Amino acid sequence: MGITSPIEHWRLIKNRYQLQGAVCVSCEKAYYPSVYVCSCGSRVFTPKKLRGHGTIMSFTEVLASTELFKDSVPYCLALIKLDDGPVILAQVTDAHAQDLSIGLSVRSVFRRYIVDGQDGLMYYGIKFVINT
Amino acid sequence: MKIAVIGIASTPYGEWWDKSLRQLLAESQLAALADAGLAPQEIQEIFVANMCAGQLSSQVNIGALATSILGAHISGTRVEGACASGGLALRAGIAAIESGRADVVMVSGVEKMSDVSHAQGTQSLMSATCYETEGFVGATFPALFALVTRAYMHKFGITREHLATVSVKNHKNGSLNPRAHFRKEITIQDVLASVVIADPLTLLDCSPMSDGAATVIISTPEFAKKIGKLGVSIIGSGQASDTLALSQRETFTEFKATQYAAKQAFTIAGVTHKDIDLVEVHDAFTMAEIIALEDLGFFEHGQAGYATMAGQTALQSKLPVNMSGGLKAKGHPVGATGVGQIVELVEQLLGRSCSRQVRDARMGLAHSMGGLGSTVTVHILAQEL
Amino acid sequence: MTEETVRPDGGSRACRRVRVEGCERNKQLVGIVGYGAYIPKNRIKTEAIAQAWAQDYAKITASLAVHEKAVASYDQDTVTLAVQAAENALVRADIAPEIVGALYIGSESHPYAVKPSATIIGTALGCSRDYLAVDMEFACKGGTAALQAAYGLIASNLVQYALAIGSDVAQAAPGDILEYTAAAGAAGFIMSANNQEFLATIDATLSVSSDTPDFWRRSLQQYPEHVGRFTGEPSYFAHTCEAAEKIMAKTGSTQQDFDHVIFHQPNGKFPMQAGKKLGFSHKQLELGLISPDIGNSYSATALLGLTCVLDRAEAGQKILLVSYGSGSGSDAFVMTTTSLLQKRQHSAKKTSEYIHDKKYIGYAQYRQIYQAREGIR
Repeated sequence: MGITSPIEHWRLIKNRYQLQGAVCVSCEKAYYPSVYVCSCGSRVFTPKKLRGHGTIMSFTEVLASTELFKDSVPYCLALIKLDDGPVILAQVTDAHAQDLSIGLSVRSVFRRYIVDGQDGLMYYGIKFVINT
Repeated sequence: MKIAVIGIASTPYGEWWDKSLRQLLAESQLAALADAGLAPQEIQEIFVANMCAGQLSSQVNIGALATSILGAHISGTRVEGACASGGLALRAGIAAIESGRADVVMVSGVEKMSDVSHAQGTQSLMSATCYETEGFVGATFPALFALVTRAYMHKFGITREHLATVSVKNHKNGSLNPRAHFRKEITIQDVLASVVIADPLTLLDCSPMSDGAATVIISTPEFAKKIGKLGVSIIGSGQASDTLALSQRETFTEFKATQYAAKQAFTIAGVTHKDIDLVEVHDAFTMAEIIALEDLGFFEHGQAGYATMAGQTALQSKLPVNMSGGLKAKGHPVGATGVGQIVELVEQLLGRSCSRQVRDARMGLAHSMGGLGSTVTVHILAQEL
Repeated sequence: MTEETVRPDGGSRACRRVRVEGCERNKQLVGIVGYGAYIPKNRIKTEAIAQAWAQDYAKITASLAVHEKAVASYDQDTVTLAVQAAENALVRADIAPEIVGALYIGSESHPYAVKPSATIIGTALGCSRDYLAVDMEFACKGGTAALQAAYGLIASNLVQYALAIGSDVAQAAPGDILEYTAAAGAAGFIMSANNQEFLATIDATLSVSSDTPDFWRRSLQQYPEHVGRFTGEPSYFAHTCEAAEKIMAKTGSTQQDFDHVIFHQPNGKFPMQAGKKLGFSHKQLELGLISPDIGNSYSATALLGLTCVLDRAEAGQKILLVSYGSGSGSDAFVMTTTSLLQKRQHSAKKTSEYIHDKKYIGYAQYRQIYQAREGIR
């Protein structure tokens, strides 16, 4: 339980390592992750690597979690509005709840999210840090 | 719409070490049959709500499990919509009757959660989220609700004390409910001092994991009249959905799916909010009850927290909410919850709720929610005079 | 010319015994066109570690000349540090990751025993699929080994741009003397033969290697072993000084020709002693001496000394860089800065900015981070 498959991660690597989302060719609205149908109705998108700058819309500090995250606890999660438009849910690392606030500027960093025990794969992705 | 509820039953919710998934389900099915005065052969279709059995009991194909309990070859279908599975199973049962395909349908819900650790239960409940993106970053269900909570508190100015009053009220109601998982009253201080799960939500802001099962038997009004069981009818039903992922929402302080489902139910029932005497909402977390009451239309956005603190949803108020103790005190065996709410409302409307009885209860509303309001059902029930 | 040589099985064979000189004549001139540092934010003071073990902090600081060290966060490792340093290098080089033709990463704390760090880094940076990728290891000189390999590939015209990284999240056993210095950091360099883009030329490089058992780690062990004072004279000093003298001879240089001298820095003392032995002044070593402030980041240490120098060097200055890796060997480089360097120094965060961007943690938190890393790297 917990890890679906390293293969799933491999399919999602560009999304997870590089914040690759999609832009609607009709109305230029950006999405992360990509969707099938834009709010404008169009179904044609081009992939786009989003810039890792944004502001916090809400945050929490998780103190009780699953087996997979037991060594990461406590960790902070935030809904972050990227300057490029979409809202992303990601961990805010090197911070506690008292360091965060709604409206705070954050930027992306490449970090390790999950270590699957002693013999499983390690899963990297994009987290955010306070923008100093 | 007029769907008669002719039999109800619920096991007590709690930690039942010596009862398996099928034992809990069987108990509620047989008790509901007894309540309706029906033989097993009289049931024409079964819909069973369940979320976690595939992961926690290695058991799917629950429809066949349910029919084999009755020793029948009838149609049995498992219905799943995370924590709204119960409400969805009821919708499926209603559709079978409204289509004319069946006259008498059994709707059950069951969940067995105490065989695994709390961490494993949390893992299983995470499959209601957008797992690829939310599970990957460690967003537990409480964590996602904590994000909603903070956004709501920031926008509307309520405090953790307002949230705590929901839990205190539901525990008070639960202390009067012999079937509740938790029967102890608590104080606001207890809630504020309990261990933080995902800031700002504490343990006592969160509904528990429970074992339990509930069953209702529904039929056409004609069949109900024939057997002398036309007491309560379902007169409105609605269902709506929203994005799986919280980050894709237009707003973090409302659940649109509840708003749309409620509109449908009220339209079909042909009644207004003023007609509703009592409400069972899906208080997976204290914040969930507050937002639900606003999305259902009973309070303006931002007001339900203040109203709860002012006692406006207490048992003896104008709008009692979660007389059963809600998910918080009554318990939350996921698949059973939505069906259990119907059991509670029917008992209230038939005057069978003892010390929890709401005076002059004539019309009630049940709200069942899965994920972060990604699947929602709303049902309105009325007393038949 | 052939002579008799003894074979390992006891027989003998006739074979060539003398190196042919002048084979370097046809190589391309290679330079650094981009460079970047990354040092994690957490610091733990020598004082805090000494207090935890009831040791004399003043004596330890005096002998090691390291007063605090950089500590990676739990969710950082060799790969994530490398990505940050390499991103800074790409920015200074002003090139897109897609045109990188080779990626070498030297470390002694690769996350996997088998599965290359290089491809994770390459994908994270946005490289295409068309690049050569390989992990390297040579204790503390894995980074300069990567630099030499990248240099060789460019010199032979096989690729146009090569990325070489040294990165480590070093681990030391609790209570061991190495606990005071084992730190974390990364430095990345983009190499090319496009001379209009040079920030510094690599004028010469050579290596000295021998089987010297001063420091090692068996594959299933969490922490390394080291042989006390043997890590000094016969190991660090012997190889460092030999490589330095040989490259000065090769390039016909004297000590006074160098504006900046960088050695590997397992502590703050060894590089100064090596400098003294070789006849360099304190001033020549000053700019590149960083381990007193951040500890020893193993494969990144000497390279971070280099990024620190490049951040502040003027045009036309000569640099001598000699690394040391246990097991043992030294890689030596002679470099000359160009006028383009000063235009790119500010393009990305400087080494000194990383050094001063810090947050102190206590010993309990430090131990907790490393406890959680048990079995991981």
